[in-house]
Amino acid sequence: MLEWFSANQFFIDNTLITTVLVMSFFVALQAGVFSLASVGLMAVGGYMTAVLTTTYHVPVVEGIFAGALAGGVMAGIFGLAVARLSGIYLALATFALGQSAIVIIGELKITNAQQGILGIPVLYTTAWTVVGLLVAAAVFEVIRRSSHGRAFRAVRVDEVVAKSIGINAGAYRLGALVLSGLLAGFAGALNAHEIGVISPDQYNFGVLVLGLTYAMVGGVEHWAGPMLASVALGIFREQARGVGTDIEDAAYGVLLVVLIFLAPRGLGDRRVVRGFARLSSLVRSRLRPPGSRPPPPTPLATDRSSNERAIAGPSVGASGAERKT
Amino acid sequence: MSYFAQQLVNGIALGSVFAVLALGVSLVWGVLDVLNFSHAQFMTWGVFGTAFGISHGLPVVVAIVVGMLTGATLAVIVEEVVITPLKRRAHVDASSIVVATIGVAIVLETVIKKLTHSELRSFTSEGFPSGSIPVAGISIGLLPLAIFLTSVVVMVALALWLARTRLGRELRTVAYSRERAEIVGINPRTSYVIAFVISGALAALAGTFVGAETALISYSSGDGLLLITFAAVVIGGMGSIPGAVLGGLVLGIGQVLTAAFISQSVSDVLAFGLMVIVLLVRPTGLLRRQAVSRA
Amino acid sequence: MSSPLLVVDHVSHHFQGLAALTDVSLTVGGGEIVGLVGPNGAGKTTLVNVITGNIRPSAGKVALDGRRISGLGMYRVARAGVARTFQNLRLLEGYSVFDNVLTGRHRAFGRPWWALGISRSVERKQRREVFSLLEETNLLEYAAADVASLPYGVRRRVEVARALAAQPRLILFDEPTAGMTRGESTAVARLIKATAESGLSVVLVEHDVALVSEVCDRVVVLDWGKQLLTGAPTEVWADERVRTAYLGTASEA
Repeated sequence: MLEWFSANQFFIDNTLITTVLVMSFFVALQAGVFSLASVGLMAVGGYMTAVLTTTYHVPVVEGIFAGALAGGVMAGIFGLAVARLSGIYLALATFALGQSAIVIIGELKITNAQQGILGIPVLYTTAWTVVGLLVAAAVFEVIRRSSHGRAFRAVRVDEVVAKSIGINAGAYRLGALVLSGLLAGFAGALNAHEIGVISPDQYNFGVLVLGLTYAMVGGVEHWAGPMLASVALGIFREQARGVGTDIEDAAYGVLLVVLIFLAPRGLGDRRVVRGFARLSSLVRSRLRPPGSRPPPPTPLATDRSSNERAIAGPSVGASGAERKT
Repeated sequence: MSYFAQQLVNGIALGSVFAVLALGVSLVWGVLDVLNFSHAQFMTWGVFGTAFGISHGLPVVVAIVVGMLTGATLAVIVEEVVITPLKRRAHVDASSIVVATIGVAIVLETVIKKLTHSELRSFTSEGFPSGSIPVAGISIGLLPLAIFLTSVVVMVALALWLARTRLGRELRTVAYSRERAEIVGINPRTSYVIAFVISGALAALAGTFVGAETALISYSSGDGLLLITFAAVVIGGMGSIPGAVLGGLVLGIGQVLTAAFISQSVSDVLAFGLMVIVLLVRPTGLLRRQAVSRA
Repeated sequence: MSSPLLVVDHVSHHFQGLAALTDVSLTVGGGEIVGLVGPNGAGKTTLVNVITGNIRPSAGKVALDGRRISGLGMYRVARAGVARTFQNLRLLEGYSVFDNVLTGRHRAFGRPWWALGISRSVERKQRREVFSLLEETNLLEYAAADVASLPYGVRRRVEVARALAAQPRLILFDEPTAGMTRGESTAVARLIKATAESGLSVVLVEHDVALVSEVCDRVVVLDWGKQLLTGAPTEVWADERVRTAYLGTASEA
């Protein structure tokens, strides 16, 4: 087992760092912010730590924190600028901002322009990324179960309704964008220390497409979706590597299109989850021997209180008797 | 002064290419609400179609038509197989369709890459205007001039077609409001197909311009231009035909002049910078007056 | 009677050259139900949008409990205690009735943002309250159902419940019984009266004459953005100008 880990170290690290990037896309998308700035913000984070650790000899850990922070701050600045936009316009604006950041980085002397920076301390451990992802997961879960999670959802689904309820949609969108920037910057910083080299062409459209695809596969309903998608697809790509990159790319493109057809809101889409639940209850009812108790009703959502499950139970009309206190 | 004039001419020629590309994207956006990321592929496949025609002995003009047909056919296929079926579904919003077009773009690029064996091919300049003519003390290249003039003809033709023909007016009605068009009895499907056909043909034409200018084509010819095209569309106004032309020209001239007189770096950022500024200050673009939907 | 809760003071709104509202004034006291009627396009929804902060009026102001709310922006007005339903019914599709109504309860969670979702007890308490609300509005049996799958009348009720969940001081209902059966309308009428009795102020935009007569204390009639008349329901329906405005000329019928 340990052998497998060390043999595939690079692949594992890469997949995990990609997952951080994917979560960056996710956190924005789940608030309805179609942000394509993540790759640019990743570059900002990567370069921040690269410059700090090489030119200014800052310790790596601090460099990574600075990278993440830089991503967040930059995202905040972007966000304030494009706050009023939505949909395609937001996507284009965030994309342009992200690209501009990369282009500008490629022109500055301090970042060594197009040649990039070599010799970044490769003091990377997988643990950092894992810890980062766990922290992110914990934060996302807390958000999900709270009124903030519902607020994000409302802002995403229908911003006008959200505002009519008293939700400060602008603040939530900006917050989502800043979180997105923090994660992207973190991913970029980790990447810089994992590879040891950074240059502007590392942050290309292909990376954007990758991150966006995984995020869309994972969906916006639940943070576990994109995490699983990223890992699963990462493994898939690794296995498919033998087939040749062209076919792999084409398969990728096809996957994207098929996904939009089947689950435009990603795999976490409620309809997909419901379809899945129906399917599994069907399977269960077939597997159960005759005469035994009927199964409990299929849970339709993942954040229910036990009362709700009771409500959804067999005695659906006897509301008074079912209500618990 | 003559250097400036020279560069201005180059800028106008480049701007014409951008404008023709932007026209196609703007048209599709206006009529279908779709920002088509596979537009660059129409361009690449189109120029390969032209090259194919030329290599098989067809006269240049005919070969260009072949190229435009290639682009148009590809566009229709994409529209029928992916775009329109997606538009029919309830839960798919514009952003999702954009992602789908990204997927289509990847597939198309991979296919042409395989078909051309990833080769960088030379695009012959035979049969194309070459050399230059002196005008008022400046030497104007005939090829850029031809590109500019052809673009003008195309744009004027398109504008007239949209204004004067029944189909053109239908397209404009659908672009304005699909519901109103349906109420009046127009089938938006026809408009969708035509919008894509035009955008595909125009992309192919622009691709041929680029091929003629750079003398090189490959499967990745279209990539770099896609983003500039979007920038031109945004700057000029999404869905606005004159806007696309304006945006294209502004960017073309802007890029060449800033590269010549300020620096290459500013030139590189120009497209993105202007796009952001326009989106912030006047999201509808320079020419569009209609309010942009916000949610 | 104490000073009114809502004061709409000479509000006008112009939009692309059209006068959507011209010099409209009205007041709503605590526990009062004020009807807002008029033919289609009269400006009723525009007025609702002005009151809820969706639109900033070109002239005039709106005050809630003495405090100016016009020009504040939607979410601030909502936070001040104003809730609404939408004419074209806007629910969060794909989510359950319970989730929809619980989302409406956002205001009640009141924590500072940095405290996040740490307090499970607050969450539990609010969920229980939403259960009670669903029971009061006869929606309990649908609690787990996806709103997208429910019949129209039930969906309307969900939106009402969502508005009530915010524990507002003023609710604006924009044609809440549109497309409902007589039985459903009566149920909504009862609900509206009950909310007013518990102290909430209500502005009711409606076309249903019987409902307005039954439920409203006062009625404001709008036509072409102008205020025709304000008075008790019986007065208003008897007025010639109002009848003409509604019935229009023969060719419009």
